[in-house]
Parts: sequence; C-alpha cells; structure tokens
Amino acid sequence: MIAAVVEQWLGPHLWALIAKETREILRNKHLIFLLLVPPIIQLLILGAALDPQVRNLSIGIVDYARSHESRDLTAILTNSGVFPRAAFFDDDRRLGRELERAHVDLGIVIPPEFTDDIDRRTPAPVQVLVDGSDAYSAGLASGYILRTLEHFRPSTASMQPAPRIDPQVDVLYNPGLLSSWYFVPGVLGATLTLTATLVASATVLRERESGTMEQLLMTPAADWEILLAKILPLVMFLLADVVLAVCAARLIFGLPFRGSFIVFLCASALYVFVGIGLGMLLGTVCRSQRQAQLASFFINIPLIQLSGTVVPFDTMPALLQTLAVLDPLRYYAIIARSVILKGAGLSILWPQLLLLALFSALMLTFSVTLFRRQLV
Amino acid sequence: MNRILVQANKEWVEFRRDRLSLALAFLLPLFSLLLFSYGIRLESKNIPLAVEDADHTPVSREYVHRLYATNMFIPAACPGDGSPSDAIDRSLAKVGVVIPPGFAGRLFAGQVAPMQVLIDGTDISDSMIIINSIKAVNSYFLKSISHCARNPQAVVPHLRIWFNPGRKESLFIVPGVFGVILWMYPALLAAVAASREKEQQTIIRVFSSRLSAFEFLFGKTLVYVLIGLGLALVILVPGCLLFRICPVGDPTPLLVATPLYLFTSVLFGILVGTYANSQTVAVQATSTLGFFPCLLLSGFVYPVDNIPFPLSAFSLVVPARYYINLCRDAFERGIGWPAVYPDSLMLLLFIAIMFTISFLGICRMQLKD
Repeated sequence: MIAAVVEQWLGPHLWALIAKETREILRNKHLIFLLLVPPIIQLLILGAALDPQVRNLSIGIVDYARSHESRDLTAILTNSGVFPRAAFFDDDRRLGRELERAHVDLGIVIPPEFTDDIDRRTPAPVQVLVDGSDAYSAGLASGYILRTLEHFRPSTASMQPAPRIDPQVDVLYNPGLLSSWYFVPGVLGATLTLTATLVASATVLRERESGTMEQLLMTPAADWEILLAKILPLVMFLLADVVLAVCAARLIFGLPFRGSFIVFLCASALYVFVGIGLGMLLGTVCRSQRQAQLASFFINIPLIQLSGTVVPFDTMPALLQTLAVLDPLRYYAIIARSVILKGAGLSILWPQLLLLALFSALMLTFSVTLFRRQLV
Repeated sequence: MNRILVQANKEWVEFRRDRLSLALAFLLPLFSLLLFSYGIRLESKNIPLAVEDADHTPVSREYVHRLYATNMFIPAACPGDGSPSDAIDRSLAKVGVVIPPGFAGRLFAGQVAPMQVLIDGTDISDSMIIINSIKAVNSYFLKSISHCARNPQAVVPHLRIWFNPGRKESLFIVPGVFGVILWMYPALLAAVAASREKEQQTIIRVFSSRLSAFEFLFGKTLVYVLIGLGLALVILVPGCLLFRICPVGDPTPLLVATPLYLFTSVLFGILVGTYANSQTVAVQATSTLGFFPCLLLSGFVYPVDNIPFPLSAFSLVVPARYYINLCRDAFERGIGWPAVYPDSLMLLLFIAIMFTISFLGICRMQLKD
C-alpha cells in the first residue's frame, strides 16, 4: 500500500532504481558491515576513552618534619580527592628519581624546620616539585597545590580564618562533567564523515569497476534519477546509523536528548549529503577503491582535526580557526552539541543549518556535474 | 641471506614504481605533522566570559578587572543586558560570573563572600582550567585587598617545575605526533604491499619458489623499515626545527627505539596484510585497528591514566604508548636508559609476537593453497 503511494509520488523509474540500489546494499555484506559496525564501535570507544579532565594525579610526599602539623598538611592533600594516589618517601633523592621516571606527577618536600616555623608563626617554606612534561596537567596541578598550601591553617595554631570568596560553580547542561556527553555528539559527526565518504566512494567505484554504469544509462531513466537513486538509500542507511548511535549512547552513557529530534535529523541529513558528496567526488577522481581510501585520509584528517570534535577547538591557533570556517563538520558538531545537550532550537542554530545546507548543495552539484561529465 | 636481499630489492622496485604510495609515504605524514603539531593545544586562552555585577561597587568592578587581567578570559559579546545564563544558552559565552549584592561588604566584614560561576558543560575540555583560574583570581584578589600583615600565610610553597619550566605545550604534543605518524604510515604502506601480493594472486609464485616464509617476510619487512627510517628523518628533522625542540640528554634510546618502533609498525601492517583478502580491506583494517587506538589509547592527547578499566587493559597492547613515552623522555626529560628501558623491551616483545603471528599466517596459507 505505502509502496504504491511512494511509487506514484516518485515516478516508476526512480522507485525501481531505489529498490535496486537498496537491494544491492543489503546484499553486500562488506558494505553493511562498514555501515553499521565501525561507526558504533568508534563512537563507544571514543566516548569511553577520551577524557580531557586531569584526574588520577599521583603525589609523592617527603615529610622530614614528622610532626602533627606536617601530617595535617599531608592529610589535606591526600584527602582532597585530587590526588588519589599518594606515596611517601624517606628522602628527596628518592622522590626525585620517582619524578624522573614519571611514577609520580608531583612531589612536596616538608623540611625539618617546618614545625618550628609554624610555632613561631613565621611562614614555613615547603618545596613543591612538579613534572612539567605534560604542560597542561602540570599547570592545573601546580595551581591546585599552590592554592591549597596558601590557604592551609594548622589546627594547632589558633590563627583567625581569612576572608574568602566562595565561588559556587554550576556546570550547565552537563553537571557531572561527563566526558562521554561532551564527546559523543561531536564524534557522531566524525564517524558520519568517515563512513559516508567511504561508502559513497565505494558505491560509485563498484558500478564503474564492474562496468554496469553503461547499462543503467541505456534505461529510460534520466541520469539525475540514476544518481538520486544511488544517494537516497545511502542517506537512509546513514540516518538509521545516527538514530542507532544516539540510542546506543543513551543506553550506555545515559546521554540525554534535550532538543528537537526533527531539527537534529534534518541537520544530520544535510551533513550526510555533504559526506556523500565528498565520497562521490573521491570516487569520481580516483581510479580504484584503494586510491579512494588513501585519498580520503587527506580530506578526513583535516576535517576532523579542525572541527573540534576530538581535540579542543578554542585552543587551536588563529590561522587554523579561520580555516575551520570551511569545515562543514565544525557546523554539524555545533548543531549536534547544542541540540542534544542544550536543547537549542532553530532560533539559535539557523546560521549553522543554513551553512550546512549551502555546503551540501555545493558538494552535491559539484560532484554530480563531475560525475556526469565523466560519463558522456 | 642472499634470497632475503633479492626479495627486498624486488619489493623496493615495486614500491618505487607505485607513484601513489610514494606520494603518500612522504606527503601525507608531513601534512599530518603540521596539522597535529600546530593544531593540538590543550591550554585555553581567550575564553568568552559574561559578567553580571549586581554589587556595583568599586571593589566588585576591581574584581571583574582582575578576572580579565588573567588573559584567560575576554568579554563575551553579549547583546544589551542579557544575563550570563542567556549568553551561555546562545553560545556567546562559555563562562558566566554573577556577583551578588553585598559582595564587597561581606569581604570587608571578613566573612565568606559567595559568588556564582556558570560553566557551559557542552564543552568540558576547559572547565577545569576555568575553575582553576577563577580560584586563582580569588586568592590573588583577596591578597591584594586585605592587608597582608593581618593574615600571614602559614605555609609558603616554593614551586619548581621540572623538565619544562616554561610549560611549553609543544614539548608535550610534538613527540606524541612523531609516535602517531611513525605508527600509522609505515603500517599502512606495509599492509598495502602485503595484501597486494594476495589480491593479484602473485603469492602463489612465492609459494612455489624456494623462498621460505621467513625469508619472504623478512625481506618485505626490511624494505619497509628502511622506508620508515627515511620517513622518520623527514618527520623528525622538520619537526625539531619548526617547533624548536631537540633531544636532551642521552640520544641513544631514541636512536635505538626508533628502528625498533618502525619494525613494530611495519610488522603490524604486514600482519594485517597477510590476513586481509584485498588491499581495500587491508587499508580499512589498518586504519580502524591501528589508527584509532594509537590516536586515542596511547596517551597522545589525553593521559592514559584517564582511560576506564576495560579499555585501559587494551591500551597496554598499543605499542605507540611506549614509543610516545620514550620520545617524551628523549625530548623533554632526558633521563635516558634507566627511565625508558622497559619501553624498549615492550617494543621488542611486540616485534617477536607480531613476527610469529604473521609467520604462522603465511605458513597456513602455504598449506591451504
């Protein structure tokens, strides 16, 4: 019944071609595997493995003072939860060796005079050694430890408490700072790019390698119908991929979906068109599937690097940030994060959607013209 | 021995003839080197900040000035009188600070002065650094307004940052990029070469010749390791010059481990290539099995310690992890052998395992065909 309605609406040629392409995809085990397995696995691994937070720092402590006050100080550091692994060493040479071998990330040395200094109310010096090889973690760890030490007041000395500014931090949209919530929406776009380009180039090349394109051209169908019939089933399968991925992320990471699903699906469809356009372009330019796959490295690596899906975007140099204007994945990542986590709607996201539409129109026109020119 | 050399020579001629592989072998790695080394930085600057100051006192204004003086934050482009949470909703600001009325009064009364910090949780990569710098501003600000004599510090920390005192991020990122590139591309080339033999059915001739499986494998490996060494030169020298890094301390670990690592990488490619049926599958498998784990589970960008349990076990078998660690030692710490001998041993272990598995793969094919 539905099939009949759709057939009437699309016209007999297109419908028959779409049915043919769908059957072909379904029959191709390798393609089905490519469509379903790598995207989901990539998504899950990335969601679970990437964590930009600085956690699990280990601290090495050398306490020469061995007094009540020095134990107070070490207790504050070890109980803070920032340094879940603490090790005590007998002398600072040992600490130095452990720091050199990266067994501990930072160390503090409490000198023997520490207790006397506290008793005399003179500021007691404490040595803090930080492994600077990971510059970013070193910055965070040293900032944390400097603040903790400066605010330290030993329980024995009755010092009046200092006035404080108490920042009450609210993390909006992702209160638990779950890294999977941050990565999944963006990585979804990255995996879509990889899959769409690969699958689209494979479809175009398969027809060419087996030489069946001429047969299709001899049928009464117009060539735009032939191409549309190639693209539409792929779009459907890739959108099913998107839905599957969002569901899997919901089940495994508890990812919320706060925005409108229709807007998200529209953006995904537009982005899938961009990916397919890229893939068809590769398929037309390259002569074999291997060449297409190798060439896709040239496109996919910068697309993903510049989009801010895996590594942070704001910290890239200005030149690369400017280049990212040309990166459609950047827009898709913004849309996916805003819709899924913030629940943002069309009123905020229309510029990105418009740009995506522009990109997909450009990519498709370009690759289709190239493709047709090659045929004639 | 002679047969190994002949096999190696044949492989070299084949490699030279394939223009695409040749271009791929040297252009793509250079391109990735530039993109990754310039593009990946973790420490944010210029985070857009929206402030709502309900206190309206000189003290609160001074405080807001201090926030911007850190160079961490820039004023967000908020339209009109939008509240910080509204600016975050519209993605105009990433951080919002709300200073409540009575902020200055409470400070001077020596009480706890609350304030609110709102952080956009959709991009959590810099949330820690935001919290950190706001807290740092708070303690600096307090020190500057309160008279230090009244509140002496009990403890004065003396901070020393080892190995990288200026906290240059390139020292951390670039050696990691070396590890990633030297893993990916030699493996890719070797995988294509190994599977081509099978796809074009020329493997039968190898089987029917007097070449043993060991000689066949070793000849192939040797050529690609040599190509990999050329690649290493092409990557390491410009990388060091562009990003102004150089090996510190004893350079022998780097000199010994780089060929070892290339052996691991090439053997991985050959391993995938012997089991794959076509070049397409080989490329696909190397990029899925090799590229992603090496990028994500090796501690290249984010620390390995952060990876949760089942995956963290998997990260132990990612050779890039050991080479990246060794590279960071060579370019940053400069401790030398005592710190990195376990990493080199691990690489040797990987070579032994992968050679055995590919050897078995070749033997199996010989029996079947």
